[in-house]
Amino acid sequence: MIPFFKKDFLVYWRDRKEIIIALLMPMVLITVLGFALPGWVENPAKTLEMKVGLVKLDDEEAGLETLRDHLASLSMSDEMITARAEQMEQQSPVRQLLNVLQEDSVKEIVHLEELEPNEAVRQLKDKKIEAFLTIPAGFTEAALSKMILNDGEGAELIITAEKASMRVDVMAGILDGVLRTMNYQIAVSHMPDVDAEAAAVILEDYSGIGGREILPGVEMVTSFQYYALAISIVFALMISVTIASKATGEKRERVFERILLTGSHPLNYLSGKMGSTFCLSLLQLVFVLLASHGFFGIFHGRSLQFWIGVTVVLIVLSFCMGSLASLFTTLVFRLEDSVANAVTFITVLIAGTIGGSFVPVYVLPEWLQIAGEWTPNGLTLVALLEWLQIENMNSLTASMLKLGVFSLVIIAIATWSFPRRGRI
Amino acid sequence: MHCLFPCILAIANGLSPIWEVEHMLEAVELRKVFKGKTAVDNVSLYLDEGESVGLLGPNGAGKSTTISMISSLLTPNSGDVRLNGASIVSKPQLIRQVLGVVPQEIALYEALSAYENLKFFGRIYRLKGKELEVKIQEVLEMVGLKDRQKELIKSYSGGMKRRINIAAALLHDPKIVIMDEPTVGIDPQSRSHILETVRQLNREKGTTVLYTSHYMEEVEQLCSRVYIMDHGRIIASGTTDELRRILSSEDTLLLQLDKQSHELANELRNLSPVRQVEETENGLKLIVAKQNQFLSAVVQAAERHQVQLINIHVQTPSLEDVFLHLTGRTLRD
Repeated sequence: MIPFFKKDFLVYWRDRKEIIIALLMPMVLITVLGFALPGWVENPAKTLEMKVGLVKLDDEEAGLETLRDHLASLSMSDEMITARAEQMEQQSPVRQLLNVLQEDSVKEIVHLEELEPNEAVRQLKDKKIEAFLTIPAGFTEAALSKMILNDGEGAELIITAEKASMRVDVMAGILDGVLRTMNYQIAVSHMPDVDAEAAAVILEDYSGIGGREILPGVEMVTSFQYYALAISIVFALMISVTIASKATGEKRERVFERILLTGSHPLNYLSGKMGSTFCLSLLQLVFVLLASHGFFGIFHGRSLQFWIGVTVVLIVLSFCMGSLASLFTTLVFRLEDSVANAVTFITVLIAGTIGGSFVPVYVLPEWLQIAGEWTPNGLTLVALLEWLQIENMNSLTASMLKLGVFSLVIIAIATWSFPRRGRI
Repeated sequence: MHCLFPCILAIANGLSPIWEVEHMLEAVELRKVFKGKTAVDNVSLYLDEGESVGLLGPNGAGKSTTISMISSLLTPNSGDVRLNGASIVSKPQLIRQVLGVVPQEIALYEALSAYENLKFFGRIYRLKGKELEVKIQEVLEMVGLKDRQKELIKSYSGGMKRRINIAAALLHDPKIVIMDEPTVGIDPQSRSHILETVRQLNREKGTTVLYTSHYMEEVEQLCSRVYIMDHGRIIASGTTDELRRILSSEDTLLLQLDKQSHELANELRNLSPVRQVEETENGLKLIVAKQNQFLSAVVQAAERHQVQLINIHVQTPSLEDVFLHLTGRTLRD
């Protein structure tokens, strides 16, 4: 395999035109698109937009009534009782929560619709809503008892989702922020006698959903970050195409036959294509991303964990590009040159488009976005964007496993279809 | 008993018994059909050890397909290829270590230097270290490009590329070399060098050569036996002399004389093998039936008429003429 790897690497390396395309062209495109279309990617509303169901099991009036009765039975002065009752009316947690969710800035992202419990479950299963928020029965009473009277354990809001997603994380983040503010205001400003440490309203720990952890927050993706990732990925895809296209000449000029006549196993030839594509893709990705970081500071102030995550993604992606090079090489030997070139070109074009390598994914229809996540470039781009935004290890691992399995399947197909002696 | 043991051993190893082994390499009734079109039809040929054999035929005659089957790159639809009696169709690995193929195309990497190309092919022939280095320098010396080994192939002339193309097939010291049109489209210097390399291989190293070419004179110079192919079939085979005899039963004799002599011309007309006598500027041109003893009769007649014979040139048909005669077209049609 080593002679094949060295040969393919050298042949590519000595092609000045290809080197310029692989290394300089991405930098030019990132610069041009980054400056020409600033803010195109920064608009988060589209990417984070979600439909959320609201299941309201709480009877606010009944809760207030019960609390009023409870207040009356306490050994307090009438003035105090009146004051607390007014506060309860003003501090209704459900109303506060709904007010926040109705704010314009939140409405851009969260489209809330009140649903019956069964309907919410059905819509969630039908993927009509991303998640639903349940305000459980007795919520108002429990929350206000804790807030006003420092009595009881407080109340919980429940988020239900089918699977983990960035959008669910974002919604949880919004709710978490609202509840924290509410608790803080009550505890510190209005109720000095209430234990400031004890939260009256909390968001139920939803870490069980898809194995997610509660998020620290979501970082915004900049145009430069998006284009650096998208363009470097699609150019890595181009490297696999270019390495495979060299096989056209090897087939036409009978170099491959000469190789077979040496007694070398044909798969050594194929593994050379894979190995050289892996190395060249990795070099290209590292060069473009580091250069983008150097020029535009795309990963400024990132942690070591972030860099390790990016490195893992680039290695798995390069492995995938190697597998694609082997498949494209097999196509060259299995099909007429023109047909093989057309199939390869169309594959790259489709994968590049729906995988968000040419235009930001959020401008595509949702079904295309979903389809795009089945392309290696799309899957990698989404994984890197998520990693950039929330650094979620579970999500990254799942994506990389998918990409690894995809690569192994591609290698199996390429190996199985590659011509042996006497079959070309 | 002395003979029995190797025979049993041969059978046990899947080889033909020793009494059936006649040739080093033998193609038996090869047939290859591509998409319903027969490219090679019932082709049989053989090569003995140390022989240099020509395979002639126009484009599309089936030479390259035949070569591909012989070298185990293509599986025949029927027929067999045997190396020392053992079939290589089912065991292609038998031939790969002893065979070097020089394809018609320049099967090299243009972006690599001659040295890098040879190193790559040497490595995949499983040569390494000093042995590989020695072989690379040896084949470069043989093709006369040792001084330019570090230059990229794309900077070479067509002839130089063809010489490296040959060198790459010789790295592993093959016992049999198949050359498919190795001199197409090159300068006379490179052509001469290639022909000399083939001669050297065949005569000095005893390598068996199967040589295909459009250039009839190359085959005549290099090969002791020739196969002529057309439309996927072998239409004639034999030594070059045997093939020439196919064409005609006559020879053309050009006699250069010190003076013109009508008497000599008349006497020669009366000799039985002579079909035609024509007086030329400096002698006579005779069309005669092929006969071994005829030249002595001509010399005696010249002495009788006191005419001195300065030169006698026997014009025999070329292989080109033979090919034209057999197929009705020239090799380059």
